Amino acid sequence: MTEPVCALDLARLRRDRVMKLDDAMEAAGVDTLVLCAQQNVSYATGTRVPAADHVRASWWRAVAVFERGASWPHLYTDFPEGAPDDLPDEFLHRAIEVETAGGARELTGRIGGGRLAIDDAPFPLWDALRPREVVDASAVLAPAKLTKTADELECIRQAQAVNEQAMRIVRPLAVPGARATDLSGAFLQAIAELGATANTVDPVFQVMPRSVADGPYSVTGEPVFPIPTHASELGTGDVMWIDSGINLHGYASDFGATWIVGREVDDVERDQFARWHAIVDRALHRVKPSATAADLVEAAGLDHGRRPWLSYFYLAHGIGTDSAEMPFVGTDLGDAFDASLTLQPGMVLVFEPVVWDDGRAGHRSEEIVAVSDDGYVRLSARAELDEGAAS
Amino acid sequence: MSRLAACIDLMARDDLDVLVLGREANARTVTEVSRLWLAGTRPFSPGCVVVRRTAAVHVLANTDAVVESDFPVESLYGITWNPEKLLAALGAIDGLQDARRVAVDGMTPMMSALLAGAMPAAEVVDAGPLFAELWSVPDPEKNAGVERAVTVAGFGLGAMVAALRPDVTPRELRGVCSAAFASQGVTTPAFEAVAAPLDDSSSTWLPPERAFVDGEPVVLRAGALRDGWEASLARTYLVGSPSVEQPAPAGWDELVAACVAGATVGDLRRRGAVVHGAGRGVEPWPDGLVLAPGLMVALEHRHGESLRQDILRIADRGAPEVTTP
Repeated sequence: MTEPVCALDLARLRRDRVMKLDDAMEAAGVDTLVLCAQQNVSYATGTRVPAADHVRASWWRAVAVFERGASWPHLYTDFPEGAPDDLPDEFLHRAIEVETAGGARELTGRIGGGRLAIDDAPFPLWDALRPREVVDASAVLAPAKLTKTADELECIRQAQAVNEQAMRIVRPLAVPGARATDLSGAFLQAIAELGATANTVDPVFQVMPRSVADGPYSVTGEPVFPIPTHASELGTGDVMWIDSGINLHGYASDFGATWIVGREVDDVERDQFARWHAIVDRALHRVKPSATAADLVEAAGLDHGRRPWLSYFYLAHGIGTDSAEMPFVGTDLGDAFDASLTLQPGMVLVFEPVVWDDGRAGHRSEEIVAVSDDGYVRLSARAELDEGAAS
Repeated sequence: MSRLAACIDLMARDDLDVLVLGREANARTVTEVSRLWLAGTRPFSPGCVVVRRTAAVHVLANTDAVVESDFPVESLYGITWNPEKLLAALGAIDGLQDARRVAVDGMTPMMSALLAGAMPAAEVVDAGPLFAELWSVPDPEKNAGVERAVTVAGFGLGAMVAALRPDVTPRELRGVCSAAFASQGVTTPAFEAVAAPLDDSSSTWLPPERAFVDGEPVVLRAGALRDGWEASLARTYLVGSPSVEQPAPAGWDELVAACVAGATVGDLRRRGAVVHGAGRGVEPWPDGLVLAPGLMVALEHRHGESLRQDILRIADRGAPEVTTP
């Protein structure tokens, strides 16, 4: 169990985010911020829209327009009941269909002059904005999101707690003969009942091959993960890697574990977990303000001669209103990038190293921490060895 | 089967050399791909590339497990966090670098700079009209896909109805629907299931999270995404033990009867209906779209304390076939 970071105050969280955006716009010289990506609209306004697949979500998307110095962003939404009570009426508007040329024109007619930043645009909106100087909203969003307030950290912690609790409910169902998609169903049912705002990713219950060569073709030659869960039956001795994400109050969570199906873990699996855990602990030992991402990479070291994570992912990533955001540690952005990234209080790190012994599969779990003034605090439970049939 | 051949024909007609697609629905239109599902909107990025000259599709994926068995692995490009590597991957695609006209399904300033680097001579235009045109053509394979999704959506709704009792909460019913979908092998929704009291103050999409009361009208919405095809339905019930389905809203039968070949979407909307196409997701139809035999229509109407939504297939002549149970 993790300790609360603070007593969650969503109104305070929203006010603090608007201030962070305003500060970031000032620093970046941006006068108007236009947000169309739903996680960013959620970040700026705290609004909810119905959870949906991407096409429908694009069609009924809410849009936020923030003019620097204003007290709130303007929110354009078909779901005013999803807007927080503290958003004043004069900032709440009917949706504009930015997927259409007419809607794009209408929105551009409503935004101020000056330097404009946008995150993601349907093409008609992009086309309508072409005459203007437009910069990428990451210039504003990345600095704002990089460090989290206590309320934001608490949202992530609570989201993760829901995710973990749901997985505790699912674990006993992962037995030989069960179908992996039934585990997905049990998970999705559990998170709904536990009060998740929404699910964010199709839950992954993936039986790993013993060797990369036994698995599907891999562009990098490494184990392939994740692939969508199939309605296939679990078997005794299956090594299953789990990855799930749920959203609470707009914040993402990220659960990762390795389960052995139908029998107790054996010495190889015990050893793999121990190595995995040692990697995380070595990296955590270096987590404090002023450490760099390169320090964490160095601390993680090697496992049997290799950097112990998937080269197409990372040793660690950040999380917030997006499932994966800065800081990125150990990606193919390279060593110089890692050396340039300095940890600050309020950054969140999701560690997900991988230990792989070709012929005996491997271990992958995840742990989440927030950088504190002098080290870190846990936002996820510590990963534990899955006992398999013994649990 | 993909609509790649039809897509290439339209690209030729519209003088498009390349498509760069970020939306999964668009990628699925040109190739059989089944990548990990993510909720909500996704920022534009080059997840799938179509080159007219080679009639080839290139897919951003680390494995062939998510594409058809005969998909050439050389046409996969892997996940990267490094814009330079992405640029290099795009540059390696035959036919990209000298493209003159490129159509895209979204844009960000960062991606605009990246694509300008990959295709320095290219004029960038909207791919939306091309896909809207592809999807407006009646397609038996689409219909079969949507009807298979209808089966799952209907099953989920049935499970919700069985669980709808006094004191049950919307979140419990959402969970019941998810589990029901998964029992059919489908773990991806068109939208998270909705159970909403049908009164003047509550939204029928974002209801308050409170327990239902005996005798109150409640609308249940279920939508499934199965193999990339979407279907949904909505019905109204009076809460009880068991809950009882309410008659369709006044005017419903007339609306359904108006869904005939030759009618326009605007005709239906003027009668108060919510109308869009059903396929790889919501197909937003303009008022002027003329209903053709074989088109799949999502029709919704509300009157008083009844709301209903069905998926209809437009017939050659006369009344449509209602595909939803």
